[in-house]
Amino acid sequence: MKRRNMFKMLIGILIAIILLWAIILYVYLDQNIKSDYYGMVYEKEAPEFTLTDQDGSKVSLSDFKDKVVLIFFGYTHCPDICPMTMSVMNEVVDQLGDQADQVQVIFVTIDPERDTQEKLKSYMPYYNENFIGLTGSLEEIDKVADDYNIFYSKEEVNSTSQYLMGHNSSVLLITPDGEIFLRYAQNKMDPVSIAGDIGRIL
Amino acid sequence: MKKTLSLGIIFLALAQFSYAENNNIIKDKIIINDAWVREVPPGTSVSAVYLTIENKGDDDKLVGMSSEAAENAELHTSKVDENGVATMEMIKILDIPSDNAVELEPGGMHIMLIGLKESLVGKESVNLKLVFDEAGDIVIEVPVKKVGQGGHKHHH
Repeated sequence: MKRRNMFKMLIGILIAIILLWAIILYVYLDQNIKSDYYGMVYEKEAPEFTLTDQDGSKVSLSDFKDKVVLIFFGYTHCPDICPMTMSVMNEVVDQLGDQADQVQVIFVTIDPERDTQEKLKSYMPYYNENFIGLTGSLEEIDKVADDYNIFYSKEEVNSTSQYLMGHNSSVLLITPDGEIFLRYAQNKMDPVSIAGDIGRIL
Repeated sequence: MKKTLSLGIIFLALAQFSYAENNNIIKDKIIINDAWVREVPPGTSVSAVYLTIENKGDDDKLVGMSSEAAENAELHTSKVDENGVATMEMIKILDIPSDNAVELEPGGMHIMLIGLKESLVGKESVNLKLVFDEAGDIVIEVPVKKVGQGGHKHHH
């Protein structure tokens, strides 16, 4: 009787050890796989939004359920970082070739006072005819930026440019199943590598 | 009397000449390389000029700038903090140390053109005047460059 209990206990310990190993191995492999991405793994549910595009149509995130969405918050009075990022986005799409139609690039203005629908209509197609530019009321933009943890503020730079914006300049990658999966900061703007991440996800 | 007067005039003329020459030499010690201005979408009122300023002379300072293509030109620097927040700071005076090259490049320092008078699309170059403390004014033509621009009609 005693022996039998001992045997049961040993089996139990053995199973526990195997399980523990499996968990450790899983976490290790999972992290290994994720660290293979060029972008920083973010993993947060992408909040739904509805804003107005450059043609005046209402656009929601859920319109792109089967696509990878690259979303960037910027403004058209931005001389350096934003045009740079838009150019990179165009190069990413270019790199993807046939898979390009499975990716949607979305630019959300954080300066809706100046970036009207008309303004975006002349801005977006310059970079790519398929890019979507979104604007809205101050409250609408504020809500979306807040939902996406995008800090922005008006900045007086002691400049004649009326005002500039300080803003989070990272590009977020949203997977077809609606997760903000990766984040690309300004030091991670290599189009080939970003396209590589997208190729793996698709 | 006539002789001394003409000698005096020659002397004065020579002095003028050497002064002008001297001025030129100072300017020659500031060399502007790799200048370009970013082509931006039609209707966009701002853009950025990038360039390298090489100083083969004594310490100098970039103290001002202007362009006929824009209402204003200012030296700014983009900064991105650890949270990814990008901001811009204005630089009033930029030191250009002797035997050094200062680079203005994307994501860093740039000359912001504010209030573009006409679209840069299809334009070949814009004029830019740089004002140096020692070297004085240097006027250059800055070529307009398209970067990763779209128009990939084969996708449609």
